[in-house]
Amino acid sequence: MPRLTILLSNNNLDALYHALTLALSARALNWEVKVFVVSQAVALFLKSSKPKLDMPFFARLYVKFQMRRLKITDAEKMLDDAIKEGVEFYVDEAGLKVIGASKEDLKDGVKLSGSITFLTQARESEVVLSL
Amino acid sequence: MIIDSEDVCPVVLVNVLRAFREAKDGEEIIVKTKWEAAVTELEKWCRETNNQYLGWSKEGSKFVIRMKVVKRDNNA
Repeated sequence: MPRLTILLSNNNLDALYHALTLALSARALNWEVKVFVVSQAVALFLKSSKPKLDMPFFARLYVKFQMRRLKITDAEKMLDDAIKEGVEFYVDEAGLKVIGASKEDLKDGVKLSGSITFLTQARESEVVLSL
Repeated sequence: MIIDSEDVCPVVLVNVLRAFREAKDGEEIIVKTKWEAAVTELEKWCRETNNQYLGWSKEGSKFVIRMKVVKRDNNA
């Protein structure tokens, strides 16, 4: 089974959306998918987080309107689908501590990891992406 | 099995995957979507997963894509 490893370090909605799109599509091809979340992107995986588009207020309003008009699925639902379909999410423990959060604050199904887990997984993966 | 969806491509793909798991060998999966890219995406999905792509047509504003599930000797 081909393996896809994604390193997600950007904390805006665009990067998360692309990571989830690729993760779900890869699962549809029956690939093994692991997403490693580091740096500021860790904040997107807290139970309390609401992913935000990183753009000026009116631009954000317009993009949100267009997304609703085109019925583009929101990232929260895609993340739920990804977890249900077996995409594994790993959050960097250091990144989690930097934002003052703990393991208990993570969304269900999201695990902790460090750089060794990422490196060994990346070495064994046919496709590695950084977003 | 008919998937009539307004969702974007990756969500449609997940729905196709779920339909594929439930389907029997030889069963058809029909996807109705307004997203044109789904036509080529699902053709490639069939090729990658050893299912059969039967083609597509247009029904109003939607693209109708037909696929045949191949489960015999298929580990996808």
